[in-house]
Amino acid sequence: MTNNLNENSDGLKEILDKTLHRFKNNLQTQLSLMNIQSATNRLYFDDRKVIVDRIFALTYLYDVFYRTNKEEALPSDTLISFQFYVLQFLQYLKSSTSEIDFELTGISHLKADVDDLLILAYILVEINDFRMSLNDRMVLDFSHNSKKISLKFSFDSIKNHEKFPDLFEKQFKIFDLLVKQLKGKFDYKKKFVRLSFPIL
Amino acid sequence: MKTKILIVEDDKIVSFEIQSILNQNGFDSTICESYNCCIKNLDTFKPELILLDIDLSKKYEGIQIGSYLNSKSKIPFIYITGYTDTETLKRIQTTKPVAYLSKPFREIDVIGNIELALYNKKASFDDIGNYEVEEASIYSKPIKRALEYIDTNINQEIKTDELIRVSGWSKFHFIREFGKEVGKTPYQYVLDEKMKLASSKLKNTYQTIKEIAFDIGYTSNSSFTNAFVKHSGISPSSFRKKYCR
Repeated sequence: MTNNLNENSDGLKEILDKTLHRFKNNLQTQLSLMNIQSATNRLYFDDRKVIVDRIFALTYLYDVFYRTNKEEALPSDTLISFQFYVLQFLQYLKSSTSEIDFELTGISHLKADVDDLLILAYILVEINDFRMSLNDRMVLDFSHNSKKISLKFSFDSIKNHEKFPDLFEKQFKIFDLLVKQLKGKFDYKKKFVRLSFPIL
Repeated sequence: MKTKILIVEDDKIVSFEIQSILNQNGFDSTICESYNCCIKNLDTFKPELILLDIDLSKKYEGIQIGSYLNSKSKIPFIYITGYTDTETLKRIQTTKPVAYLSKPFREIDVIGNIELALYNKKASFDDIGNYEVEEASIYSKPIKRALEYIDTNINQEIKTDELIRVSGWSKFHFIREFGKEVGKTPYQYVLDEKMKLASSKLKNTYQTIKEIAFDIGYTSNSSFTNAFVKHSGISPSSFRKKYCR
């Protein structure tokens, strides 16, 4: 019994160490994004909202991670439900606008690493700021195939999405870095932009 | 000419930020994401300082690089880490970084640590200059040549005959003088140095025991294990269990 207690206590300490480590890394990413913003003269349509949204992305992530592992004695990995987190964050974004439509197809069973999901949320924040600068409506469509998540997005006011990178050339650096961090790939089609990530 | 700094970090956002900070402060920098890229850039980019993330694609891969830098090069390095637990800190200390930078960091933290490290590097080179003058009086030139030979060839089998050849002395004279100046026999000195390196690799890397044995010049796993047990009183695997988490 004493051995069990000691093992549990060691396991808990290890999880706390890992969580603290991850949290500091997550804060570093937030700080880095703000510093890259000034270093690259990135002008957001609403930079205050972008920062607030990133903080909420982080908050929801830890909330979902905590709830996911509440039933278990000690969590053994850092995977959480893809759908649950993305849905929660999109609903948060929608709470301040009715101009976002989204669809999540066939992803209810998928799990992804918390760090990857956080970067994905930051990508959504970037796309939402593009939307605000266009004063437009946007449609997001998540699906998955062969271990990849595919995110298609489009704006009503853009007739040809093949020109998307040119249109946002000056604002593109952070968006591009986030996509690269997820080892993602851009695919520009006439009617939409597709991002695919191997994050599962 | 700009001071060259190598950034070893697999997080693209963090590495881009560090590069922006370095560019703004007049440094020349390049980014690596892995052990192999870092080792390659030591020769091609020739950095004067390295900023090193502890976890790359593998956990503690950065410590492995630190261990390599500590034993094989004189380039100072600064760890960048979100770890602050004592186990990890103890572990990184064995690889002798010049500093470590805790995440999240600010521009002033990065630049302050770099400036201090470069200043200390310059000061230590000045000291080495003085030390070498003193060292010349401690070791005779033939013994110094033998010690340098051992240091350079620590990853191979080192035969006493080869040391005698390098020293230029006769066998009897070399062994007697080596004992007088170094305080142990050439064989014991080589063994101690190899075991010191093996202990550091067991503690700080994920290399297998077989790989470590080959790295320090043993041709078989069993001869290395026997030598390690004889030297340290414990087997390499027990040593690793005892000192690593």
